[in-house]
Amino acid sequence: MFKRILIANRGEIAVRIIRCCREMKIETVVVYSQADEKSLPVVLATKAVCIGPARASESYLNQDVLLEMAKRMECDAIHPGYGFLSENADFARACEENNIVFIGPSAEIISKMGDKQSARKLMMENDVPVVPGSKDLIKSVDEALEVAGQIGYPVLIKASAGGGGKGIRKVFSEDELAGAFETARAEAKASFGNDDMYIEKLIINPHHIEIQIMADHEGNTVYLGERDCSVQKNNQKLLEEAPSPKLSEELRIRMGETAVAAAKAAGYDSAGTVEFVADDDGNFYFIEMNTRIQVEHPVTEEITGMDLIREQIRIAEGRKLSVTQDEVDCRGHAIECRINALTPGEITFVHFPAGYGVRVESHIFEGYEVSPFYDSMIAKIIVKGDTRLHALRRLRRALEELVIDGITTNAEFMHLLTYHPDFIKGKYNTSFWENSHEEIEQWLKEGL
Amino acid sequence: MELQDLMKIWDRFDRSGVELVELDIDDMHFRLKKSVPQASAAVSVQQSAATASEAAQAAPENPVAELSVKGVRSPLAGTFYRSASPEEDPFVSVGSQVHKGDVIGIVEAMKLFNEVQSTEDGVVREILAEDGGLVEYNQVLIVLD
Repeated sequence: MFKRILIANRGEIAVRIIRCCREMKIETVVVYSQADEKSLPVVLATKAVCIGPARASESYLNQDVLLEMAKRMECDAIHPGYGFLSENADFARACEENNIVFIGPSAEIISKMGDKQSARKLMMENDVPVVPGSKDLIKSVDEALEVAGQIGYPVLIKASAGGGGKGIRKVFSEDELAGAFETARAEAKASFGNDDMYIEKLIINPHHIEIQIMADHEGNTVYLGERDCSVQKNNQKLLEEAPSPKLSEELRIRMGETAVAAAKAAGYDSAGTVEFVADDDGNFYFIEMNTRIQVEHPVTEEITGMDLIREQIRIAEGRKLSVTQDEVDCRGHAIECRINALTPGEITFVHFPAGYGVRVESHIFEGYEVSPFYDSMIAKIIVKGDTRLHALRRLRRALEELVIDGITTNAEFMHLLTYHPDFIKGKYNTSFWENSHEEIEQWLKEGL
Repeated sequence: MELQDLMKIWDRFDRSGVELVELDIDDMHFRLKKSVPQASAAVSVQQSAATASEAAQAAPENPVAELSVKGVRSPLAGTFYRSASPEEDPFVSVGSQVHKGDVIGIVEAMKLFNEVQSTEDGVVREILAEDGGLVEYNQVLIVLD
């Protein structure tokens, strides 16, 4: 059993992990940057150590200092949260070499799944449907033209080492291909130092559906239902719900079992998410696997009744999964709404919603200074209802109650989003924000 | 004004990061002054008599000195050593004359030894960091006059 865990993260996820550790009687060490000196994780942790200036590269991304602190403070394990070093294979390896448990899968698996083209290949070898695309890396423009012709336009040129939207180009016709390929390749080289490219069929306005999986060291693997994350602004998720309003029960089971197969193929352990895109015809395709706990994990927790952080820690300690697939029971409907700060500044007043079926995950408090250095998400409002409509009404009620003064946030926008007919009907895909945000912004100005 | 009220004010003052408080109560004038600048992680220091009771929060376990203290701060988090090796003499002691650029100690992280250079000229008044102890980023290692 772990005695002490170092949390290599900040904000709401650090708070989440600390709370879980406290309940498990595990001590916590929080390492923080100067910008986070007056923050909730620093207050709640057993011990907090300032490790650097605001710049992430000198603090939260500084692997040497993190390892030094973990060793110095005699921590058994490091929880990397999400973002930062959570999917950094080098860091996971360095933890292993220093006899510190990295709470997540092994360095080898992170590395395997982080290389998107090889992850695709692995899935193809295991009969997991992938977005039709190139079998291997594309080395030249001529090869690109040939493969794209075979796949059929439109296509998506992607960097194998990619992420964050870099090294990606949409190509709608053959004459655009050569230019797009060269540009994407150059961008990939500049952003990741790696210009390995591959090509996929471009699925227009898909549904983004991801399956939460959990596996222990013995290879026991379960899926914990799906999350629909199609409400996205510029590839950034705004709202997630479980289950997806789009999936039939049959499709849900098929995707879940496919995700488990994918995880087993990778030799996965710990928490992970298998991402798919789905079209309107019931076809789904593997895109990638995220080898970390995700921001939106609470919606899965709400419908399964499972504490996923606790499960992650238990698995890292070497314990078995606490449930078998038969014991996994998804009930009701949960929605998570992300509240983002649109400006930095001091929070002069905050009142969070509460009451039956409402859960808030946040690190803010009155007097807290939202700094411009990090992610702008300041709170997650999560609701659970017996049905989707019930959850929707609860979310509206919660957002109506929410007050955050001192800075501007997207709370009002999100509240009005819940009144959009497409959202209410559950008939939306990744084009939803693009198609509806102007209308919602109009409502913001004039009223509904 | 009861004696126990004065004790309460004194006690609060002691725990605060405030250095000097002057109070006029019941035709009496009180002046409380600290002889050594206190280490504190105060949010803000309010030095008006009326708000003496709202003075900065209690001193924390981690000694992060106020910005007004003249001294040398750690450029990274790690283990502090006063000398280059256990056999050698410490770089500085109380009373040592220090010039800007002089090495005053070492902070080690992951087997890398970083020499900490003084950012100012002065005489070492106090060595706050413990030899072999954990230091935080920006923590005051030595205080200079």
